[in-house]
Amino acid sequence: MGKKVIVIDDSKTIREMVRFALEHAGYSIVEAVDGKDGFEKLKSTSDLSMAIVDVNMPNMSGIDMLEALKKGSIAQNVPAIMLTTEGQAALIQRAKQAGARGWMVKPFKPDQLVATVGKLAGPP
Amino acid sequence: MPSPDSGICETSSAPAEPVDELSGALHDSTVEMLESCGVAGKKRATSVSNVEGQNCLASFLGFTGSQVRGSLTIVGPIGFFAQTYPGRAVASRFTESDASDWCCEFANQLLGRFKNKLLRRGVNIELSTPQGILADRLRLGSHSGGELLVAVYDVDALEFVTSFDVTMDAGLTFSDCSNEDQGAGEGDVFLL
Repeated sequence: MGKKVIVIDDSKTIREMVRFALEHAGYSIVEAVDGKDGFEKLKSTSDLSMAIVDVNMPNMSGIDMLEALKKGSIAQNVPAIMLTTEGQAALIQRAKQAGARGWMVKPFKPDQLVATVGKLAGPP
Repeated sequence: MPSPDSGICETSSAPAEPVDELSGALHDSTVEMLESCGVAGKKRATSVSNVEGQNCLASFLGFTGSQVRGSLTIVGPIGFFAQTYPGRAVASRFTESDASDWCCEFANQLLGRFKNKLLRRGVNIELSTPQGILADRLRLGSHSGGELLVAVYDVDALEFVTSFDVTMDAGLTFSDCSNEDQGAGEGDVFLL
């Protein structure tokens, strides 16, 4: 079993594409369907090495989730990258302040995703 | 229009109407989105479509901003979404649920591209999350009292329709040149 990465996105298509790319590279995947689900899984799963987080999701946005995690000092050792259609500089800055370590604008290239995860989480 | 090499803004002597700017940005976003899915789309000269009589998928999401607001609806047969599905090379099957989810994500990425284009022209909008439906005998209509821009694209033998319902403030203006410093574009990756 490789290092565990959580993908938090309301789109099943995106979760499956991320799963395929990272499992092929040797990582194992946990899925969450929105920021609220992601928050609970980051809180309850101790061995996560990385989080890949969408921004616009129902119930709780990805940035709101990072801010809540930071406020509660939860999963602060898990690096997060945002995977989103958004490119607005103000949002990127807000995500950075909430603890995000990277930003990818959809659509993503699988090899770029694997390389970015490798940089932040290390090899699988 | 901006000169692509010099980065110097030039003032257009005959600026396009705001609705034409929006329509052009949506068309460019649609063409780019189709290309990113590995297909080419040709826009029809008319907005007459045959999808309304078919078993189709539709997805819609709203947007709002200080100067412009409205919604985007996309419609296409399941075959169109199967053909553009990013997992088509690896997925063993393509269910109705897969099609519905991808239809929503397609609309989300399409309107995301549109948003990023407007952002570079000094106009900011916020997007809602998409909703999708599978429908028989779907008919498109406008209820906002704004402009309804319908475009039909031929993608091989399949049709794809965008229906853009938009209301603009009278003072809606665009920056004269592309401002690439406004943020990130599609496919960009960087560490913070």
